[in-house]
Amino acid sequence: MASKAEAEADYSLFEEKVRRTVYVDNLTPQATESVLRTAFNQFGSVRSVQLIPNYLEPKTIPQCALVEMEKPDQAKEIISILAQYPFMISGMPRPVRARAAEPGMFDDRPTLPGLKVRWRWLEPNDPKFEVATKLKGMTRRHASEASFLLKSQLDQEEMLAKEQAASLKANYKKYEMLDGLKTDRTAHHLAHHYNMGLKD
Amino acid sequence: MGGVDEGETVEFRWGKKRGFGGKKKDVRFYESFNYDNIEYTLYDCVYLYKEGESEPFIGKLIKIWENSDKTRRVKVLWFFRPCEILNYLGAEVPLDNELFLASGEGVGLANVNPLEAIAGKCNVVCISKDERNPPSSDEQVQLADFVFYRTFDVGLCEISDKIKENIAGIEVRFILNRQDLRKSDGVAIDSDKKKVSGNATPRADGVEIDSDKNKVSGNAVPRTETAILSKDASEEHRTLKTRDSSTKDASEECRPLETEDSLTKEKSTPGEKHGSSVCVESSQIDETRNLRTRISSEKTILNSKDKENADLDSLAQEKSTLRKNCGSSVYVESFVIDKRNYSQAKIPSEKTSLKSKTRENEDLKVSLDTHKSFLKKVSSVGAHSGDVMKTNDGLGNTYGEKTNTRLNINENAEHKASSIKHLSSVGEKPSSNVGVKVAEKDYDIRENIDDEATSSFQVDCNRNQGKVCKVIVNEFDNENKVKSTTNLDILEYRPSKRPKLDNPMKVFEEKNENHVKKLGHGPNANASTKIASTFEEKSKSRLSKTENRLSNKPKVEEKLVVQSDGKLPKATSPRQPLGEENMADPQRVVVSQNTKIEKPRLNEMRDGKLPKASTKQLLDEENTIDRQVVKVNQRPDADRRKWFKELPWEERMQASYKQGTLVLLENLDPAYTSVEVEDIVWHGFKTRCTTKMVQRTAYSSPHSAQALVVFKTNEAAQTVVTKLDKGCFLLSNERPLIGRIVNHSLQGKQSTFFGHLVIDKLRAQMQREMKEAVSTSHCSQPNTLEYDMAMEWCLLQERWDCSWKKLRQGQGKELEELKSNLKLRL
Repeated sequence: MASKAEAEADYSLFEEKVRRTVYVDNLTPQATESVLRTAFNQFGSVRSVQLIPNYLEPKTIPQCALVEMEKPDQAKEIISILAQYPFMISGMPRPVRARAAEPGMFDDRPTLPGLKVRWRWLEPNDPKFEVATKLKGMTRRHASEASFLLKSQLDQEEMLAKEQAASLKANYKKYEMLDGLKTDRTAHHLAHHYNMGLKD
Repeated sequence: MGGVDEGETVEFRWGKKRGFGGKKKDVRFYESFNYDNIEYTLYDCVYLYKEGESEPFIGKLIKIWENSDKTRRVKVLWFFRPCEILNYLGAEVPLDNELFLASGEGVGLANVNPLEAIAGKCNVVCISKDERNPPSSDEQVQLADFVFYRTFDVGLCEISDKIKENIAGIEVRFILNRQDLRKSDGVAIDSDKKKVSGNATPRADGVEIDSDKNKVSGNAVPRTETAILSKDASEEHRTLKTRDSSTKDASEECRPLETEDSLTKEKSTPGEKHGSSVCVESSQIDETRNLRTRISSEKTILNSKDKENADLDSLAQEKSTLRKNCGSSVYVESFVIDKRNYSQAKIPSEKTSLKSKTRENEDLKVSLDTHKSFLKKVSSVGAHSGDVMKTNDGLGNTYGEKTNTRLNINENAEHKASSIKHLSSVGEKPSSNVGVKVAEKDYDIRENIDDEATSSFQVDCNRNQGKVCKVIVNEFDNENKVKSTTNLDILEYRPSKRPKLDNPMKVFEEKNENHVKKLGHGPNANASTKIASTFEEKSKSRLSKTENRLSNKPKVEEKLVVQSDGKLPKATSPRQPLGEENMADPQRVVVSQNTKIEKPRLNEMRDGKLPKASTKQLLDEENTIDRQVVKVNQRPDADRRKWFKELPWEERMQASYKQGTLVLLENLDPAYTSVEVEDIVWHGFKTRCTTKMVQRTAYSSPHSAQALVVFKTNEAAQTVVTKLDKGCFLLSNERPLIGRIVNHSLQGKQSTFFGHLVIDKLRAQMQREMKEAVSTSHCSQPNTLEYDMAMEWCLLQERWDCSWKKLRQGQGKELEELKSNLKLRL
């Protein structure tokens, strides 16, 4: 059938696209499409950038995006480089993370050729009904487990961010103090006190 | 042949030529053409796209031509979607992809559109059991986008499963499934000829009336079925022009047209005067109406009715002096008004009679009185038209009289060929639909209490009586209070939804509302509200016609246009020339007003009645397909999705969330796409929806996917969710589907992001730098503080990745176990 072949061709094109694409997350909300484009143009040429909208997860999770490169090799390269070096986009020190894209991440994917969807209603007196109900419950439980995990992850991230902010602040204070030693003549006084020569 | 039009971006090629027409023989008729690489032939079914319309119209090409100025036109015989004629469908549940072929004569049968409005081919299969119809195979039906076997008479507003020999001048065999379409060429022209000769005389007469009554042009269009008579062609163009004055149809052919238009204007001057007088008078009528609604006692009702009647009479007299033609139309109006008064007075009286049997006799007397006064009125009105009604005694004669008046009108208008159609349709509609129904219902109700009147009545209306009687009795017996209250709610709710019009309509509405409220208190609330609602609706459709008549007056017209265009951008049912704007056309005003009326009604039907029906249907289906595995195919109208750009998803989703029609489906196979989910919902729940798979992220479960589904109505969403909750909808791969209504807002920009640090003092400076920087991305070098911090982040991320992986693995295992359990027990 012509349409089937067409669908298959469509899908293989799409798969090609998936291979070219990098999934990037841990992005700040300030990272816009153009920012991402410039950032990843350093590794090759970017074909398209699509930010994945977040409808269901908490609003505090980092933004994620799909960056389609010109060639699959470039995508692979990005993933390996970003695994080796922390890569910052629009801020630091939290690095972005890159992964290979998956078909499910795409909004506009074509139908998998040969995909057959079947369904049936299960009767309540069906012995399988109970199992299926359990399955439903399990799916719900899994979802809540995941959301719990996500929440605690976010909490930890927040904690880390606060810690880092504190240490950065302390570090900055230290450096500022060191910087100030000369300007407020403290270094000079000290040198004089200890009878040391102070070289500029 | 085959010259491609310049300036046209879409590919176009004419196909087989059919002949010439028009005054100068410069109109070319064609049999086929190729547009946007799709080959269209005569009698193909097509989608027609109209801006701002979410659903395309569907029609059959019954004529294709090119004017001398290279504008391309097609004449389209319309199909109605069930939702467009819901009012006339009653409790019947149409097939899901069923269409209704327009038939009869009147507005909405067929009209001329620019060829460019065609959006694509539509596969419509006739599944009529008619012997003339070549039976279609199951496969064909399966493949069809739509099927039809019934027709909807646009004049009589009736649904019928009989397909007439000739619809809009097209022989039935072109309308039914085709066996061989090529053979029929010559014959088709013949039939056109026949048609033309058949119609020539009435139309010649009709033209004059056309020109002062714009609405008749709707009739003229379907009738000007011609390839030969130049006059007809020009007339068709005239209708075209009156319909859309903005069309650049300034071809030579349209020149005679202009003269005709000026004729129209001349003609319409008396009409204008008349229109204004009608305006004034109708407002007077309204005042009396208003008055009357305030007054509750039945006697005063009668009094004011008499007063009103006097008004009407004077009105009628004026009309008849002004013009016979107008006069007759006014009769119809006044008659209609009378009719309403009559039934209004009667229904309460009956209600009360039901309420207390002791008061029965008195009330009957009262209703008798009302009848008599009504009959008097009728007779006085009738006298003006020259046909004196024989006022018969008894209760059941009103219906007969109505038909009499109708006949009279018909007789009057016999020499006014096209106006008669409309008038009679005006006259018939009330009498056949409301009239008969209301009358019958009333009488049937009375029959239950008192057999006095029935014998004479039954003779009069033996048409639907048995059926209606049954319905009535049923309704009567099941005094379902809940239903009646919902009905009431709906009715009360409706006016608020409708835009405010400063014309009689509003008053009518109010009145009807009051009326309905009043009725709602009765013991037969259910039945009476039903009557009232059909009644109200009918009266409104009539009203809009009245307004059409009024709209001969330019000012009124403009106002109406503004209102209708402003308040109702999404008109569903108008069968208008597509893709062209036309502001000053009364025709349009009327149609859009009709939709204004009908649309809330439709919603309401959806809210009030349909869900019931649909759940029932679903239950039935459930029983039938129970235990059998169903394969999900493409939805019948699947390719429609590609043509019409809908609102951006975000907006739709947000709107849907606010309406409570947004549902989250969980536990879907990650391989599904939005299209599959739509198909699943369509097959499983017989509801249309728009879906979007939630895009996977690093946090999403690898075991299942989620989809957001926008349903059309709240009920549909609720039904699906409860069914999913109570029952068990098992998809392939042992996935019971889970659904819930999304109850938290999905929008809102992500605000906080942890992990990016800025030293406070440097913030301002940083921000400036950020703005100026072309790229602010870099790889961190190992000897910096930043690098250390980044490593901390990486460590954290890695840790969490591990726990995610573990969680997902564990979940996967659990699922596997349970699923294998499911399989084992098979």
